[in-house]
Amino acid sequence: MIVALPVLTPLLIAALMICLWQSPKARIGVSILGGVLQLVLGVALFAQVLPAGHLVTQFGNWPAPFGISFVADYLSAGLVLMTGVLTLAMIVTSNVDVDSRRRQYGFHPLFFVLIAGVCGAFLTGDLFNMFVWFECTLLASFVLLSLGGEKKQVRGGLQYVVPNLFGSVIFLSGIGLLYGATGTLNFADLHQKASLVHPGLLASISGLFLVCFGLKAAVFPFFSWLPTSYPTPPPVITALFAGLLTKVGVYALVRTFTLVFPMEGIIQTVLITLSCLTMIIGVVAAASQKDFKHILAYHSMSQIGYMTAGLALGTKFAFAATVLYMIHHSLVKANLFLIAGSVERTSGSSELPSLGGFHKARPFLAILFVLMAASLAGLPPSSGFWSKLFVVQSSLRIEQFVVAGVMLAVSLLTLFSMVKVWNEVFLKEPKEPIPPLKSAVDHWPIAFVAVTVLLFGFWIQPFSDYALEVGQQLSTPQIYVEAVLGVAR
Amino acid sequence: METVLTLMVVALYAAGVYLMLRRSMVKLLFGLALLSNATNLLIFTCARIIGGRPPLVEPGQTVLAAPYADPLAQALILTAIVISFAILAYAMILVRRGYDLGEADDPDELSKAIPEEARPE
Repeated sequence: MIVALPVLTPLLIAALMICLWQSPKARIGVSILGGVLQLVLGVALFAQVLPAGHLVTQFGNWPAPFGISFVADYLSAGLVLMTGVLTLAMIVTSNVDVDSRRRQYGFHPLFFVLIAGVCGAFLTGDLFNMFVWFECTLLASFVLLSLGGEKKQVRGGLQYVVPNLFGSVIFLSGIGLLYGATGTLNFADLHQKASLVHPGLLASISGLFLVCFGLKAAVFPFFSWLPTSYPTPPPVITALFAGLLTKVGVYALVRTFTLVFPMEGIIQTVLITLSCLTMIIGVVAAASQKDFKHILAYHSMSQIGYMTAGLALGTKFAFAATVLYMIHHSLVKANLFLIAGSVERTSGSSELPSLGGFHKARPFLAILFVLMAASLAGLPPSSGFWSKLFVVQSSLRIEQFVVAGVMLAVSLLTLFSMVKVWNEVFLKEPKEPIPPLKSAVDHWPIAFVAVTVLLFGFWIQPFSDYALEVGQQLSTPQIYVEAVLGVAR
Repeated sequence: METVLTLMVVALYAAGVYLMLRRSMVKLLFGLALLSNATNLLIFTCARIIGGRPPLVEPGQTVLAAPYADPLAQALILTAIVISFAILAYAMILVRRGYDLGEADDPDELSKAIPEEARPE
């Protein structure tokens, strides 16, 4: 039952929020309660999965290939825990960041529906159910993105909605074709039956999934929606999207390409090439931006390349690197967007030329930014350093020297962008004096996420052990199949 | 029957993509609607088309006697229709709002009509 709780709880909270439509104070209280619950459930699920390996819930007690199963393996449990950390940080920040008009129009219920959708996508063991959670997430994110109806939001919203809807159509077509070819949609069952399908047909279907999940994860050449739409809503919503939504796309890629489709031949070559191009184009585009949030958005995309590269390399060690990278990047990037949000709330803009002087006015924020920026660029001993070490090492082990070279070069350029932001936002003399901090709540969530990132960096052993266990599980799908379908089959 | 449906799916996809590539928001919406319907038909076709045989298990049997059309696919389509209805409704509102704000049907004109530093009213 614990497997379904991280999905059911936020849905219940969302329903409660709608009942509390008329009382904004109560909504804030319940929202913080919901954030804490999400984190507690994440920890509880992780603690239960850790000894067991896999936890499976069959809804309505229908046996596995017929009903819908929820499966928590190490990968899912870790990502749900990460979602819990981010939920708490975001919901606390939202109380200072999201204006009362947006809160009046249902920010809170949408936020929790989004969290439920993300956790559902991480935990489900059924491909069509995953589609439903994707749509649930997508619909909530559509409304969150355009909530407020500002002109720039409507434009950003359209640029976000159309590619994502197209992605959904492709996803659904892929599901239809895969169902036609195998007669099942349960991941474990698909793993067994996929080998019976003609390899050419399977490769074409996997191409559809590569496109639609690549689109959701913003892999080159399907990325253009991300940098144009992410900076438009209030920063906390952007932070939520950057931390969670693209990771759902990467997670779906990892899940399908380890369980259902073989990562080999042309698909592997294509994914490696696309990953390298994503890294390069993202980082080069970021270097030419003049807006704090735009720089971060382009970096989001560039870093996705590292994760998909790990998946494409296809070894146990590379899977571990991908997982480590996903968790590191979610926390760090969401936190950088929160910092950008704090800066924007103070000066009313996120454009670099109009900012400056934050190292004197906000020394604590400056320290947090340096820590996060160093981690994003991969300076030792930060979470980014270990993640990059893992992913570069895994490409060197199978002699993919070009991939390793690209990764290292891109991390240097990332450092360049971060130094640029540091100079412009923090070091430069300000044009106007910076007003004092309105409430201390502003920095708490950022510090909270920063502590988890520091823990990751300085106490890497448990994290790397966990990632290696995930790599082990992902490269032996047989265990997953047995856990879901029962050993006897 | 399958051939006709397959051709239909192909035609709907082609028309949908064509409409989406046009420079008009309204045509974009029509394109999306056509694409989601094409996908529903695709799932329907994938589950075999067998007329006149409802998927009911005969008394005394435990499984369906072949040949039968897969009823699960139709349940999937039902879910997909509901989802695409919700999303299309949202997209229509968004386009309407864009039209109200920028008074433009052409997405390029919309970006021109909107100054970068637009602030909440």
